Amino acid sequence: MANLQDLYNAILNGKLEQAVAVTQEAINEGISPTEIINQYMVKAMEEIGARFEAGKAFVPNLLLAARAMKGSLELLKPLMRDKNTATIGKVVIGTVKGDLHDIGKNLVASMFEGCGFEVINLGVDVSSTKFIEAAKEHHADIICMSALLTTTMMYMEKVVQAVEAEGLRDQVKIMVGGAPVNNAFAQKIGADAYTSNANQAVQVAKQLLAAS
Amino acid sequence: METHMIQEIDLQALTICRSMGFLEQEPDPMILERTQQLLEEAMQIAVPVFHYEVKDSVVLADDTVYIEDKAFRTGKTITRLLAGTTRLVLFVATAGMAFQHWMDEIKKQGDGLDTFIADTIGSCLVGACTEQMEAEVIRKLAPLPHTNRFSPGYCGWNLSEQKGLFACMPTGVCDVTLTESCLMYPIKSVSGLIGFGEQVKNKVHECDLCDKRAECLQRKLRKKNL
Repeated sequence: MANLQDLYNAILNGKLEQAVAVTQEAINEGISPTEIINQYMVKAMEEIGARFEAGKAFVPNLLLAARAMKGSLELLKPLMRDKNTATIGKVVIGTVKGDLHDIGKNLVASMFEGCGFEVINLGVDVSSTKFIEAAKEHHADIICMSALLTTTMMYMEKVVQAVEAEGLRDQVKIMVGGAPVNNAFAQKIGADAYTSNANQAVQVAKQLLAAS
Repeated sequence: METHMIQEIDLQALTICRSMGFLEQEPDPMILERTQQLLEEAMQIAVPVFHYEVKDSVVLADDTVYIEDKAFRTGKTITRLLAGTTRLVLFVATAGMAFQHWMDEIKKQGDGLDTFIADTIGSCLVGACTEQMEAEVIRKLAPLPHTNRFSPGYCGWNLSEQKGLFACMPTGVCDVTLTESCLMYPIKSVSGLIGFGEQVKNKVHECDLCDKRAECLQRKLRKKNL
């Protein structure tokens, strides 16, 4: 019989193979995907997030946990589709035009995926047109933009303006992040939120979607 | 002008882990082991290199540094910290193109942890390369007192000033190029200046002036001498 506490521990400790094995066992035993995800997997991600915020876990721990979570989710996704249990939300994410830095952006993308969001990762050097096309095509709930340079962060405002011009602003939340970005900048350009790390990004995204 | 290829950089897996956040807490064995593996790969491939130019005839004025016929709008903060400078070292240091290609390959494989470790190795590599450059110029210009390093993009020195800095360097210096947005490529590269002069006193580090200092891991590492 599948011990789902082992699944919780496997995700918390970033043990991909163990997480996948227990998940498969649970599926074989007919345990509901909703129970597996909500009672064990999401709780493990919440715990690793809390440890990160408390300075007791670090970025590599988050990445390992997200990888284990994603591995388990891959097994559960087909079952969730059958039961029409959608993801938490859809996120279009990219590093803005002119910028090639993506380590932070990819970390945020991994955390989103690990926490049950569907992520459309557009990569680096992403134009406003690409953000908008992807948001439309995938019916995104959130656009996330990253920049590491003071020269490229200014492009975020162009994307916000383009989203408004396309009439999408009421349908999509906009989040920004990156070393030179801060809350005041986010407000100034009309974004919905700024977060300074991957864990916060997930928490704030959930809050934004809950409030909309 | 001098270009140096770095032959020896002593980087340890634990140092990389410290830079990934494990300041006091020991990293999980799985993370330490993977870091060790990737570090060994990287050190076989990487060819870090630095270049520097010593410029005389330096004039400081308000928010601008004049060198020969060039003007750098370094901003008031850096210009103030350069007070007393009579000789200026302009530098570029990079982990190199071979490392960039290696990092790109790791990224393509799509594993978030490996990508993060490789990126951190790159940061440590270029950091060590920059430190070797600094030690070299300090030795060369001894016993002149010197300031800390300052880079475009920090402390009010606009990143677009990279163009002026690179204009003072030989074409294709260290194989580092600037994108339209003044991003250096290979990404793991550092550029900047150091002031030297009999009257130089101010050794404030740019970390201490940064508005991200509360949350910055690099600052914490520096404070702990890690």
